[in-house]
Amino acid sequence: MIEVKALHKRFNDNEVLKGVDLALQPGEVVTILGPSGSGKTTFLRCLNFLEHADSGAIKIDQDWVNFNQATSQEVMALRRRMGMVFQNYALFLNKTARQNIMEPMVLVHKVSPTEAYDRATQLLQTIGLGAFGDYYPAQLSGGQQQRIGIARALAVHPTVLLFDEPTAALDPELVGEVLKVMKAVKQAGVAMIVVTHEMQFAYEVSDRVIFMADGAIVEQGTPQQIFESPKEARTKAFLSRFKVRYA
Amino acid sequence: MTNYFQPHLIWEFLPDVLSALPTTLLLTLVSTIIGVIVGAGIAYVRMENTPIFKQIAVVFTSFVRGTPILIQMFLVYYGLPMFLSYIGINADSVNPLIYLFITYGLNMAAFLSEIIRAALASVPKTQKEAAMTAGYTKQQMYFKIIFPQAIIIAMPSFATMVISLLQDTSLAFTIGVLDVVGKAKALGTATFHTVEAYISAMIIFVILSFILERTFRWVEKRSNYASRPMPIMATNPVIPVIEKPETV
Repeated sequence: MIEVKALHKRFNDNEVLKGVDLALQPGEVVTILGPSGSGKTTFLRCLNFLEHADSGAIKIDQDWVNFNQATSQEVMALRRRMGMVFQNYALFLNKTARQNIMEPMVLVHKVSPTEAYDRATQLLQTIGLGAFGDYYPAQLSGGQQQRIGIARALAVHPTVLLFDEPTAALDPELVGEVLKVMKAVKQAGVAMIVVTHEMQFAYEVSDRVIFMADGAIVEQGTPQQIFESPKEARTKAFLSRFKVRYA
Repeated sequence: MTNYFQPHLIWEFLPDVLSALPTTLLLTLVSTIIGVIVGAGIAYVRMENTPIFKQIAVVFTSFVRGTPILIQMFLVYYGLPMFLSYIGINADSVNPLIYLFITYGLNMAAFLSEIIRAALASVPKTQKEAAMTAGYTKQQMYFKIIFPQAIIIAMPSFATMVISLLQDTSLAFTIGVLDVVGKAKALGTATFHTVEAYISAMIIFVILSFILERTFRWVEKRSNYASRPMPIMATNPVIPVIEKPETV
């Protein structure tokens, strides 16, 4: 169970997030859509304290934590329950694919190295990179790196995975393989908050779609509601530019 | 006195000049170690914006970088004992090498601090963020992710600094320390074959610099994950060779 309440964030005079509320059921996949500058990415970054939110509170499994007065222990505890997948993959460049997946398990979650090795190997196989465990990020394609990024975040059994435009830096051919892995993550029952411009993914995979604009949630609902019969003018205007194949 | 220049003397001087090599090496090594430690401290203070220390660090680095090392050496060698005697400490019996360690060590620190700062700054910000979101402590983040990457970035400039320090130590003779150059100068003065003596010192420096350069390059290559050869398996997939059926 993940809950966020009244999240406010301003950069100087610019109010980026004007009180965002969100509640996720375990295993629920929520996609956040919206134009650039609507605060989607900032919202994600506030959740795991990469950006310092001005006010609001978050709760994952346990107690409420205020964004503006969280102790570093509380931040660490929250981060241990959240995984993050970055737009530019952000794999540790000085580690091999397998080490990337193993190290957070061993260092942060105190999993024994042998156990971590086995889980990493198994995850690499799941994402179709069983033979690439000893490769360094620089030796892998963007799609491969992003799949490893997802595996790294998934390895520690997080309650929720945050995806920050995971396919934005990939060419269309590589997008498919990453989306496939994301679908597998959903099957594994991990809750996901996905900021993306992949409308097809939002439509097919997510349980709920949120449309954000100007730092606030404009409209939310099932993919069918949002894509097929949006209510707000803002949502209609935004979605009119995309064509989704209604399967 | 028919022959001013006698090439064979170069070789005859060599063992004698070589006997001073440990001093030169010690000077280079100790100064580098001081430079790395103090330089890392300066870099840290400047990156973290620690009040007062930061200003001191800025003034110190720009002073060191803006004055010749010879002047810094005289300042430490003549100035420091004078200053110490004011506060009642007698520094007359201190080994001059100590002054050289201080001078070269602090000089290295000033230059290395900039190299370290630049290297730390050029590790992509997302590496930090990835470690933080994965739940790493600050210490884990620095020692497992940031430092290993920064060291590789800093390596070429660091190598250049150490090799140029090696050459700079040749100024040590001006305060009477018998390093390689000091020894060559002494030999030259004693035998009136200054050129030959300096050439043998030169040979030692050239060989030493070459060895250092090669060593650093080797370390650089060994430690750089980006230039490592790909694991054999997947880059060169084993293509099953279909053997021709033997014709009988």
